[in-house]
Amino acid sequence: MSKNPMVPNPATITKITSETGSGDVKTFRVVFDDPSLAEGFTYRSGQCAMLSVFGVGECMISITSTPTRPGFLEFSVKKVGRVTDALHEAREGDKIGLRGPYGNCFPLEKMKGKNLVFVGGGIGLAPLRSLINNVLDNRKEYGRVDIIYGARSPQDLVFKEELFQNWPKYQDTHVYVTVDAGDEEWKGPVGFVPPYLEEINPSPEGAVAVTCGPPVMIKFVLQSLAKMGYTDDQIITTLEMKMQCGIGKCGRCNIGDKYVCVDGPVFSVDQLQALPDEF
Amino acid sequence: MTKVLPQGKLKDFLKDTMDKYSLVAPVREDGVVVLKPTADPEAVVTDYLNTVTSPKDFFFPQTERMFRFQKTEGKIRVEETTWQGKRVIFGVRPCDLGSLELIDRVFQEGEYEETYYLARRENTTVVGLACSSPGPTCFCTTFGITPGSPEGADLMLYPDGEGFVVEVLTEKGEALAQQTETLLEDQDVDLAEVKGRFEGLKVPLGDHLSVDGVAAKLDGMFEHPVWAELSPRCLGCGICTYLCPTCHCFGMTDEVRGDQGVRLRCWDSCQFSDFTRMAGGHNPRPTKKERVRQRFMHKLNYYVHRFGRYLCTGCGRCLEKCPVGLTMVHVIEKVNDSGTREVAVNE
Repeated sequence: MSKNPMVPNPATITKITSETGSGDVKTFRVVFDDPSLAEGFTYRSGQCAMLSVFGVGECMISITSTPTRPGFLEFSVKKVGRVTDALHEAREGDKIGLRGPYGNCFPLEKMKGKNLVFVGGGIGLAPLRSLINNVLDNRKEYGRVDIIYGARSPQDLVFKEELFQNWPKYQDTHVYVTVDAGDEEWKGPVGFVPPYLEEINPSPEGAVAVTCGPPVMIKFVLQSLAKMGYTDDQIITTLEMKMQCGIGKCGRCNIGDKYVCVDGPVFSVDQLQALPDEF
Repeated sequence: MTKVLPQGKLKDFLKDTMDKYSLVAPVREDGVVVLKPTADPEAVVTDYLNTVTSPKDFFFPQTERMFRFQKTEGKIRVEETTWQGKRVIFGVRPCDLGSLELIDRVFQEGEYEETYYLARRENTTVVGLACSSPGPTCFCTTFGITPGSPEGADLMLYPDGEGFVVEVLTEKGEALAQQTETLLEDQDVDLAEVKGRFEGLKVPLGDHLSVDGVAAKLDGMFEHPVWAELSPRCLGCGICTYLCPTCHCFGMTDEVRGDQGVRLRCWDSCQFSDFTRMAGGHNPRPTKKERVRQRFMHKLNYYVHRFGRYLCTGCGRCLEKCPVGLTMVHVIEKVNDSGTREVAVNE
């Protein structure tokens, strides 16, 4: 890799999976063109990378694959703006640029032996997916796993094969899926994530909760977890901010004196309490 | 013995410099003094309070090419741009010298180095020029800088009588002194005494403006009404950030023609709403209140937490150029004042 951290490395999209009914979320499997990078690139669950569409720009996306399954990287991208629109136009075999990995990671060491509660909303399941698969690949090292996930509608659910087929097969792993509004085919629970979480009510004892989703969902999930007896140091979240350099220099992703690109994106709630409310 | 450059040999000094280096120096144009590349020693002046723009522009240009890319036959070729040159920037005032050291930390420290800026820094020799008569908008002493502070220079010139007393501070400065050695006279001058004279010069505004305890006070002032009071008059023009010798925020943009293009790194400003607005529309700093707060909190609090120094050197450009007088000095005064008011209320 170039000594210059701002120069992206060419990579090839090898597989594209449309996740949602409308196709507004796609998962891109990507492999570096440089064989030494393809072999040698390492990352940890929770980290992000900068994706370049040459001629359009860059965006920071969390790595949704797990380092326990090497050989490629995966990014689940929602179509929301200039660069993500361009990515959604891409086809298998197309070239993009990739640099990273950036940021800190989920504290796996601290989570060992604990019961884990994952609370995700919408595309917020993408960073959690890396962690969930990482945990499930080392299933014996962790306690009970509860995965609580919601989306606006059945059409908006992502990673459906894993949610409904793969993850529930693991020992002591429980998946709960809700939607804000159902449709004719939906037989599952209907309602927002925070009250559904309270209904399932996983015990805070010996547990760590990890949440990611739209800001408003996170806000209410944190309130619910507090109500359920979780302390701030038991709750972990991962944040999103506008980022451009990814290396703590360009000056835009700070919350107080912390730069989300290098000091985050993963924060425990007690760390967030010490920062200004500006994210 | 101390090296002295006689006033009459300044042009020759610049000429000899140009044998080995490209030169950037203060030049008077249409009534203002600007730092610019010049090949004409006759055009270089030393009788200015400070240059309109700061030397940061030559290390962190307003726009620069980061790399070029070319798409050919299903492949992407990325070719990094590296700055080539050997340059002297002449006549940099102590406040601006200090600002380079502050930006150095951002681009150098931490897990990653920002190589574009650092390549220019490594290949540029900075000649400082001590200030003989600080102006009404100068407040370097607020931040512990004096009209004679050489920190940030490779070679420092102190105007003294009919010449400049020379202080060599780094290897790069030594190389420049060697390059121009035939012009530098060894004289029986007490360098410490000369420096002391500049260090002791009065800086009226700075001498009366204290920043002691401001960072600590601001820890508790994120929600203070001062930001809502100050921000409405801000025009959001970003001129403070462009002229500030310590502002260093940037953005990136691609320019493309056919199968090839370039990625450019451009100045950006925390005073613009786009700066933090994400795709999808969420903006953590949606109004001028948050954006004005960000700029001053960054300089007077966040940077202090990260690097132990204030991110301001009291150059006074924001005082001179902000169209609505929303300046560092006002904010420091407000912060100082807010404490005393609170104490008064508590009593």
